[in-house]
Amino acid sequence: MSVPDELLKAYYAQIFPCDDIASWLSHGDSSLFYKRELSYNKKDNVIRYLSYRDGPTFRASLVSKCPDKIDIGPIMSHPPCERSSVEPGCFVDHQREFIMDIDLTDYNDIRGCCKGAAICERCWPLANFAVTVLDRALREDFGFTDILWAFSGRRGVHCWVCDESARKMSNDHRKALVDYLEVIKGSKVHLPPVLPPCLQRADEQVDNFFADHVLPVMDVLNNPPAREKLLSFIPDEELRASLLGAWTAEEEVTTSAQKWEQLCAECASPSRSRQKWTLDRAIRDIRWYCCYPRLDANVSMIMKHLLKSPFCVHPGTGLVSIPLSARHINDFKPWLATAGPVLTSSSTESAGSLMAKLAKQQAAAPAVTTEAAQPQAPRRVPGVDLPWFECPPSIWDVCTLTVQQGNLPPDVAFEQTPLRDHIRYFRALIARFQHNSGFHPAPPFDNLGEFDEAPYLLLHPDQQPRETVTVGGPALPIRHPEEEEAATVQAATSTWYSKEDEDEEDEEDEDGDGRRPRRTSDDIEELELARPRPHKVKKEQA
Amino acid sequence: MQLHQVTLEENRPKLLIAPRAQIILSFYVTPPQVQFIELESFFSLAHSRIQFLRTIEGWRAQKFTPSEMDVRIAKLEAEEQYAPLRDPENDLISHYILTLAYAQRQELRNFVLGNELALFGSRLRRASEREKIRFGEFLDASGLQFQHPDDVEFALISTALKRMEEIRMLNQGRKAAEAPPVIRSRYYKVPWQQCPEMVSRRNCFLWRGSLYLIQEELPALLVPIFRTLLSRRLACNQRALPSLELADDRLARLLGSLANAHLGNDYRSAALIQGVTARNIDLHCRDSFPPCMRRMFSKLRETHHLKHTGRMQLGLFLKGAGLSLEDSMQVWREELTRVVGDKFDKEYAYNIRHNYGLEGKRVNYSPYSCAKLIPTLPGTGEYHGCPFRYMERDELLEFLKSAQCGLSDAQAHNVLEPLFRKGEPKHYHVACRAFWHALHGADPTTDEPIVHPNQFFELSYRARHDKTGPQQQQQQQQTGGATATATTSGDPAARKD
Repeated sequence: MSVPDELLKAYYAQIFPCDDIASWLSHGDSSLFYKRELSYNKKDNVIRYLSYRDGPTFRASLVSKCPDKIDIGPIMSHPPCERSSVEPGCFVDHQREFIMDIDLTDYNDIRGCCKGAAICERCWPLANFAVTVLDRALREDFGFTDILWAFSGRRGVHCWVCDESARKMSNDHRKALVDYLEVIKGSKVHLPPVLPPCLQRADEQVDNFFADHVLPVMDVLNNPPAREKLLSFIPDEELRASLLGAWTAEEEVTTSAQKWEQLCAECASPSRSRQKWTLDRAIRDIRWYCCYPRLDANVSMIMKHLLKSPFCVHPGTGLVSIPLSARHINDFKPWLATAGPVLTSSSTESAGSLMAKLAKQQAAAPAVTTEAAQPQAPRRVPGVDLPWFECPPSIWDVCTLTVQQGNLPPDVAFEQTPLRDHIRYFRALIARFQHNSGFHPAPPFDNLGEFDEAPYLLLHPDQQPRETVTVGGPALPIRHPEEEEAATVQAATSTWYSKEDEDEEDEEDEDGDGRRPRRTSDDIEELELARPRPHKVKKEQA
Repeated sequence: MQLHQVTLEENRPKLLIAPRAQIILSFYVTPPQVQFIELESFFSLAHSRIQFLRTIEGWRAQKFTPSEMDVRIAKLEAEEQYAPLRDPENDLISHYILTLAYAQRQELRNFVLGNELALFGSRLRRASEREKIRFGEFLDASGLQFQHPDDVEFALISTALKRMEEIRMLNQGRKAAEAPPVIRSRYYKVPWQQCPEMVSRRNCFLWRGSLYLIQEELPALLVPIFRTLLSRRLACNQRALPSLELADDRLARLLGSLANAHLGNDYRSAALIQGVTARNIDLHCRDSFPPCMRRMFSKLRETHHLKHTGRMQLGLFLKGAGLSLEDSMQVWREELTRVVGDKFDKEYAYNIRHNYGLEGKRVNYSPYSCAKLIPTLPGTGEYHGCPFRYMERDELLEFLKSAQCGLSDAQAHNVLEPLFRKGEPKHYHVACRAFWHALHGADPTTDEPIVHPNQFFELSYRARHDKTGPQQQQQQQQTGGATATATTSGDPAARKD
């Protein structure tokens, strides 16, 4: 199925958030957007080294070229469109968000449910789990704060770490970071015998996910190829053979959970006490192999790798590559998404010839997922009938209204579409990033009044209620990075605040440990949660 | 560069000498504080350092273990010719000259970076081994400042740090209970970007972008910092060089000549050896050619033809060996016309003139180095590349014993033995050096590794033709210089008288 050009053109002209993308990619310095490499795909043709001065010119080019796919590259030393006037050796990459790509096809040997591009409720949670694990590692271990997760449009998720320190990492640093995060390499599990705290934390997550999802829902041990692969981790030949025999015999009779119990019991039996050490590790490896995120390491390690832009329409599925909220990631169910034209009585009549065309295409347009999509069920449009973070809308969902209403200016049009909340979330996220990097003193949210009404919307995963987190052993209260930050930059911030910091009444010394009272009232905080929270400020030492 | 920011205080000495071991450790942060430097010592210091680093590079290519390197480098530092470099001031000056002169080109920058890093690492290991320097002092002296974690965060992470200690104990084969208590002052907090190696190995606690290192791990941190500082300075110097050229082109020329001196061993022009002509070339081949060129040259004589890559490789080598264009033409014409006839003047002559920089782009092409030869594998009917690489053992034995090389059976076995030791990496240049020894006896003045066919030829030519050897040559120069100074100093004295 391909997305019709007319639809794409309408999408690019009225809805695609060019200005927001430009503002996001310029990270507070508008000249950076011009140096950013963009790349368009149009029917197998790749046009590389494009760059545009600002949002409007970007939009104009999108409308005229109407690409199927938009990729984003690094910030180069010179504007890529002018690269022919630069000496070849001088045209180099300067900055790049740290990016990650998780693709469900990498999990093929343990997901028996789907092949290739298909996803379903049994395998997709693996991607959600990957987001959970990696998001936490990036925040807690590396101290990154500006993380954007995005649905890739079909069978994966992308991650953009936008902190300044992340953008300026060299390839060596990227490689180190990937080495740190990567455990499963080439169908082997690389874990040290004794887990350091960071892996211990992940081990807990893996443990839970394995028990809650992999065994009951995925039912891996009733999937013969996966079962064989997993059993190969057990070093004891005889045990492996006996389990394989027993399990094949009682296929579908016992559940995976029962089989797993049997395996654990066998491994723990006193007769095998000598091998206990290796068997325990084998059990651990199996669990990790089923759950732990599998990264495409090459994407992350090289600065110049291109990655699909958020809000791009996936040419294969027609689904919009929406930003994801790591906090709500467990509610994200893209397998429910359906592509294809939406035909309601009103739209067929009013949309005229275009909609007639679309109607013809509907026959040719199958649902994205065959297993989970239920054609009988009443259609629910994500962002309208479903909370925005649950499911990606397709371009047909998005464009129907626009087509009906004719040419609305881009700033208004998106308000009418199912993408409304996604774009608002994206804006809020960008404002947060720029705020964190010290660009905007306060996030300039102008139209957040109604946005606030959406009770399910949260701007940032950091804003969850305080939790206690284990860092290697007993529970320790984890402070938010911002809070630490606020403490360390006390003096430096005073000048920064002096301009608009009249709201003395908001200051309080909550912690009572002699730290400087923090500024707590802010647009964004008021909107998000009605409790004071600290405030990250860029270190502004002269 | 907020990322790699290393706090360096301006007013501190940027140098630490481990006094007993006489090891200079420095980040070379402050430029040398000399008012002026004589041109002569400027050059001699630079050349010593280049020579020194080049020796290290040879060893690095042979993949010695760190401890082997340490022994060798220590020996090298003790050598008489490098005595000036043992002075910290000179060490600093020579390092600075090099970082300036070698900033222009990528391969030269890599040369400086790689070898200076190896040198620093070795010095650091030796200093911490023998002197047990206290790293607090070292850090102070080097102007680096690391913070201890503050109380609040330390309370949060002490459990995790404890676990890291236990893992460290277990890795050393001890019991977890033996782990030392976690004390705040033992830990240093360092941005993770400063030590990516530790991050990728996960053997150090990482939290919110900071690594928490114990004192003993700090040396591992210093090497990456050294690399960061040096590569940044090289990049700065690269950008600064053009403006230097504008300001004072004399200095720029000096630096340029130093950079070319390094590439001087690219044998682009053959001023060093004279008297290689079309008539005596066979003699030279028998006496002094490296195995690769022997094979090709004898094949040329035998079959009167060589394929393109072979002609390039041999032709450029001959140019580097000092064969003039006319003689080169003669040699090639003699052979090739027998097979290709008239085609020679049309096609091949052009290529030869091209090699000498007289056609086309008019570039004086440099002969291929071993690094370039070794990866090329000859196809059927081709003989270029490195014989030690592409030939099998039996084939090689035969080749070495044949008239082309003329080694005895024992000698040939001797040459090949290290190459075919089981389970060891193959060092082709070691075999080549062994071949050299077989030709000239095992009395090398230096153990300079062979990295270029023309280098082989030159060393061999010298060993054969001035039987006096390079040492005596040097002595001659020195005595010559001494007499010269004697006369000049004598003159005024005479006048006074």
